[in-house]
Amino acid sequence: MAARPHRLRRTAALAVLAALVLPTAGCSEKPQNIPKVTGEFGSRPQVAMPSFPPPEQARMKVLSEGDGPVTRKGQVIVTDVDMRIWESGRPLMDTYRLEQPTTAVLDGQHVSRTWDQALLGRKAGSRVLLVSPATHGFGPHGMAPAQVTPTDHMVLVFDVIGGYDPKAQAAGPGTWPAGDGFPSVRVKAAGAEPVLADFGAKPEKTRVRTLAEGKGPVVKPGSTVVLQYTGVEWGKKTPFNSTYLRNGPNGFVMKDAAMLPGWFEALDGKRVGSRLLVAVPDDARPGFTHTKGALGMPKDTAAAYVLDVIDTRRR
Amino acid sequence: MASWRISGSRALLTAGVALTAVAAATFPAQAAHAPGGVDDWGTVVDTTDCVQADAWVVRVKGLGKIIDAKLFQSHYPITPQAPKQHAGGKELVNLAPKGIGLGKVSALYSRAMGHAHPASTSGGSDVPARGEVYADAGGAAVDIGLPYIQNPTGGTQLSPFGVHVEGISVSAYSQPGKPVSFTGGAARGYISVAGARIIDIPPIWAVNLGVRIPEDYTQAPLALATTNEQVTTDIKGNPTKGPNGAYKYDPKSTSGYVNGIHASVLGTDVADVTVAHAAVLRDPAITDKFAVKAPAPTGQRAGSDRAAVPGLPENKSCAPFAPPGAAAAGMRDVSSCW
Repeated sequence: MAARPHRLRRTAALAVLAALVLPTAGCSEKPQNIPKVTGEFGSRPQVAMPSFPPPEQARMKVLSEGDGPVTRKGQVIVTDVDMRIWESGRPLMDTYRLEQPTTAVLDGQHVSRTWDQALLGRKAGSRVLLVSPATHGFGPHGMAPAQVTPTDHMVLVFDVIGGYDPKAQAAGPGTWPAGDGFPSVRVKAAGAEPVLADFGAKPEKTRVRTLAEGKGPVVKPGSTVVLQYTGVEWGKKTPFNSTYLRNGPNGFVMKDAAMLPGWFEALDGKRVGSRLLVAVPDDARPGFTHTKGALGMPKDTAAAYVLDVIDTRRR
Repeated sequence: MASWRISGSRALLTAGVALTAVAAATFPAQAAHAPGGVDDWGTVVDTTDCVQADAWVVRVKGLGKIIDAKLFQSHYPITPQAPKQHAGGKELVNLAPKGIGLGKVSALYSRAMGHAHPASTSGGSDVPARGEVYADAGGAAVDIGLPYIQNPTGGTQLSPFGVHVEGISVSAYSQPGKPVSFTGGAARGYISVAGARIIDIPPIWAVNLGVRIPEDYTQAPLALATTNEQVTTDIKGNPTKGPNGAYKYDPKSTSGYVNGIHASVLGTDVADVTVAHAAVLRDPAITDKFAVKAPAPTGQRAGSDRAAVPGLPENKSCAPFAPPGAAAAGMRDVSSCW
């Protein structure tokens, strides 16, 4: 009777051995049950949809690891993303063609909790794949995106630009008096939105005043730059757009067409850690209202911006 | 003394554990299902009741600290967050307290009722009806922007992505012995980008009409929207499926939801917005016994009976019942139904 346990143990051992060997022996065509993704960080990924059914549960994989700081809870994540439907292969939306990275708040209220799994604890510069049921793939608490049926599955590829404190700034509080055609700027406390006042005559050309000189990496054309900013129509107090009144820093592609008028020339060659005051005339880009990525401003209006350069990353 | 033996099933279990370990080694990160997979329907609460209803006027996520909730949500049974109904006056409700926010809504309303349906005239009392469940929502004027940037000259909002609708109304209604029926529509509306109206939404809204923004297919989509989005669900709020496991509209379903407008936006900030949502759940196993055998009262609109005919979701531009008095007073006469 003592032989039987031995036989069973042998059977179990063989089963374990088989389990270890089979995947490496090429017996499984879909060991990871995920699509094949190619392309470099910062470029729109090429996604080859598999012919087999999607996984029932959300799945995530780091495709390539970056070398930047690790993202953590409490930060907002600036990222590029490409979204597709597994079943049809149909591309949904992506930030690459928009040339407008997006900011995700990982509080379970803005995007699905599955985004937490993909974006938290990642090194900036990483490319991450997420496969998820559509009801868990985009909106909060399981809201499938518009034009997607609730039973579809989504394939999302993220290029994590970085995680940032929602109140991140390039410089501390301070007051910078008006002069030389620039309005005054006051930042009451750390993280507070800059207040512009004492406007003089409208600017006739784009001009930049460096309020704080950064010592970080240089911002180069074609790269991604992460900004905390506020913008006001010339002479007005209420901002027409501001990252301080939304979720925190936004990412932008360093191309003139992907930014508000005056930004590219103001930022080109500046260093991370800089705080810039930018005055832009009303004819800087006649007829302009918004970029492809919906970064907008009142048409043909002179404006002033305070740009805090938080980070930059190549694309 | 057999406890040390490894049984056949244990051997399989061991192998299974090993397989799992291998899978974990080759694919270490696997996210768990996010909770709340039926949130498209609304808030499903634990209740012994056989019906539930949920409605809200606006749900926007993605504007951080400014606004982040289902606004004017009603629910049956009532919850601490959601009463039976909301009804605003004619005045605009400003959802942009700091100048940058969500937008403005006037004459809003949302209702959720169980074992009852609304009166067919504005201001009338609810009509008790065992097993019936009803929800509706809407407003006279809804102006939503992501973020909302008001036009100082009073014209079209300057928001990077804006939705404007007038006389919007949606309803979901489920009666014993009949499948769920939906209505959805508005007098007029448009979607705008930075002050430019790029898409006019027609008064008669096709069911599940997809809108791409911008419409030009040579450009990357900034947003996707669906108008009059109608989805049937099971009695727990999960979408109904066909034989292949994909979502399929079930003309016999007794539960589901309708969204007036549902838009998903990628821009500087990820956002998802729903304007006017009505949802009902009804367990036919319990409630069908309350089905009325007699002909419907002459005062009741045929619209509430039309769903007895199975088929694809229908397009209807008016609600089967009158909206609350306050809302009705502020709304345009968009049809002769009210």
